Amino acid sequence: MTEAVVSLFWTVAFAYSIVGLSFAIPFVLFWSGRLDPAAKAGTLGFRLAILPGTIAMWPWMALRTLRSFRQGTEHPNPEHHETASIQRRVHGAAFVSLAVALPMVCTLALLARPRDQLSTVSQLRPTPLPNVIPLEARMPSGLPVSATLRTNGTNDQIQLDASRSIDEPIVAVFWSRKTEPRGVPKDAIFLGSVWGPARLLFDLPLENHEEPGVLTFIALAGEQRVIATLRLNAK
Amino acid sequence: MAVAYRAVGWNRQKRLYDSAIGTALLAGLVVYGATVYLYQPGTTAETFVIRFSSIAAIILLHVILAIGPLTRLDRRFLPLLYNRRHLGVTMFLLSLIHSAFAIIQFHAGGNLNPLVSVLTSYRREYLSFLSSPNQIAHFPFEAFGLVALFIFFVMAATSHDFWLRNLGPSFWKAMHMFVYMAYALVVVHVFLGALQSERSSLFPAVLAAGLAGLVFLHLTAFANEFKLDRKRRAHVRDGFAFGATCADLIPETGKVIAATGERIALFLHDGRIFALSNFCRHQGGPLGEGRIVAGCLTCPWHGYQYRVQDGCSPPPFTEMVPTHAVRLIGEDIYVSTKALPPGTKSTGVPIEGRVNLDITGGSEFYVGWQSKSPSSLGWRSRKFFVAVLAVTSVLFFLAARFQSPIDAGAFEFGVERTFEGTVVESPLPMLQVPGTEAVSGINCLLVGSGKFGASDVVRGTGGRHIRFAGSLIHRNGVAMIEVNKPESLEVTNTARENSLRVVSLGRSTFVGELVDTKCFLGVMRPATGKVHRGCAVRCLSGGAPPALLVRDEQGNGVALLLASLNDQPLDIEWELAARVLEVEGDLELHAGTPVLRVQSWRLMQ
Repeated sequence: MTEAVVSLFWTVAFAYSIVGLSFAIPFVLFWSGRLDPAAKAGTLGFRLAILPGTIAMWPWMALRTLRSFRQGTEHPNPEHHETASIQRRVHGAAFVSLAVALPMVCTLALLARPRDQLSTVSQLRPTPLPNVIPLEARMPSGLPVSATLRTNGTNDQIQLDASRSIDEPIVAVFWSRKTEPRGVPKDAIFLGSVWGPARLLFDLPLENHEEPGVLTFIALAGEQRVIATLRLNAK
Repeated sequence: MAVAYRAVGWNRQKRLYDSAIGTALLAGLVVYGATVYLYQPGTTAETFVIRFSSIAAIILLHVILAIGPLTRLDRRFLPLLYNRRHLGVTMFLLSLIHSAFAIIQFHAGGNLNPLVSVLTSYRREYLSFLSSPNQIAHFPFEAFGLVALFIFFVMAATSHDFWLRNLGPSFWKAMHMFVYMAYALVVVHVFLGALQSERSSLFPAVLAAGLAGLVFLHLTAFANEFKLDRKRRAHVRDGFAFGATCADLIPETGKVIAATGERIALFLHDGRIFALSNFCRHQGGPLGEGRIVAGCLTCPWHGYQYRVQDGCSPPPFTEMVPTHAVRLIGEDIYVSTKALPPGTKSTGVPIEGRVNLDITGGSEFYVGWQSKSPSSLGWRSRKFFVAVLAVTSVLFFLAARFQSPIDAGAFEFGVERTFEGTVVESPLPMLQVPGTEAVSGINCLLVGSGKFGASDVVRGTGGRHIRFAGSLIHRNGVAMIEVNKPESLEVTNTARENSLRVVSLGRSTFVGELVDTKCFLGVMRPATGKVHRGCAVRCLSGGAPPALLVRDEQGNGVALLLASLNDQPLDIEWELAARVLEVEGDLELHAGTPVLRVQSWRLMQ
């Protein structure tokens, strides 16, 4: 179904509705009584209630209204009671069809459901290193994060475990050799951002080998400010 | 039956009926809301509305479709039929709410008219099942729902008695029989839509049980009707066909016979036998299953009344049904095969001692417009209502409890913050904050408002420091900023080199779902799968950063941002959003954000 076809469909539907509304307003106010005496004294609520139906059925009602104008009398109600037995057969056939077709379509839809086959990515979350935890520290109260320094002799990583969500929307984590009273030290290295609850691993630069250093947590949204610092001490 | 129409001809029974509908919906809302609050706390308001309205509409649709055959099989269910149209209109309104919210949430605010988008966002799948039956799972389910909604609209819009009278009961009934098609469309809509993502077997099981129940009820009722219709091959003598024997008649109680092509209602009233058309002028109800109330034959469905002597409704009402001449030969009752014109008077045929006139049909005859229903029926109706209330409450609980967990992430909708940082235009629009000479910045993806990207907003500002107002979107440490006020963007310094720290992790192949990052990171729930596909197509075609959804070891979703090798536009059809792709490329970490430089890709399944 192309966009042009669907656009055309909606344009036709819109035009049909506009013409229907143009017919429906005078019909519900004045002409409905010509077809049905009970509509002559109908309440405003009744007229509003039949408005959507008149918009939907306007060609049918317009023909009947036109006929009533030509004949000068109210058009008799259509009578088709002889179709009742046909409708009963249609009803039976409809449910036999439903009983056969719907289970087939629905079963096929379930069997054809895409399998869960998404890849598991390990590169972004490196496996724990063998020689770990020379250092560990817990954050000051207020920030539910504990930090662990991991190393295997060649690579260092900071592992942050957030036990629950942090109130700040973005918290950036920096590593530096020393703390800076105001903001982030000039030589700080951005490690990444932390939310929670989650376990996050950040690669540490080689210069970290000499000293544990300090983690600085900065709230980045709005006014950027230091919300916590954490010195990584030897255990 | 009306002299002057009103919007609703309120009476006590209708008020009770509507109170029951309102109470059941309110109970469902409370149960569903409480369960969602406990088990799906991240559910957004619009997702709640979409899900609740759809579940309520489907339950109501089943109830509506069950009422007809139930009343044919057991007359004690007739009170349920009396105001069924209000159930239908309520169901339509719920469907309309569901559709409107879904179209606005998933299709509005993008680069295409939402009404066009809802039918074309992944139009390639309309014919894809021709290549393989398995592709049926990808068929656009929205089209089924939209056609069903259209049918429900026509039915609701023409539910007033004005339409019954002016379209004629047969035409009206034929039109309203499209509800069976609408039901089938709804079931397919659900199976090809929500159930493609929902993994609990509860949902298909409940829907299958609903379908089985409805099929059983309708076919059983149809079989009963069919048996009656087969009896009409009776012998005809002088234009009169055998109908029944005197022993079959109960005074003041109707008897349906199928002596001719049309069903006829026989009545024994004041010791005389009368025959009228069985077809009520209101909705085609079976007059022969009615009773004489206040001297008039009364239809069991909605209480329309006719005089048995001439088939006319008592003044001031004007409805008429044809009558039939009656002959009594011994104990056998014969009726004319040709109906007499409506309004033809008949004196009836006296039965004179052939029937015990003291026997009655009992008192359990429900007439909706009477202020009180028979006490036994009233109690049964209450018990039935309590049972329905309990079942629907359980269904609402189960639906909320076992639906897929809501995606993580958050969108600070309506919260405007000021952001500052350095713009990175490629591979995807990002903001580095804070940008200082000493420190590499954190990466925040940039995206436009609605279902648009931010490329146009930040074009030409690469490497420059900017300040702007926006709203934050974030999920598990990955951040995105919606630049919802492009006019607030200020460029505050000259361009400098991109200082983003990029770590190459080598070439890999991943299998994952093509998603748009804006929805995935927190704007939309659900943000993945078939139900979200139209939205993802709109977002991706509007420029939102694409990503491949994979998993980490804990099973959490990880979005690998997709970019081309040479920073040119990606050669992927956005209609494939929500489909699973196998992508080979170079994986890079841009200050911690994973970016997959796409070398090649192929569609899975």
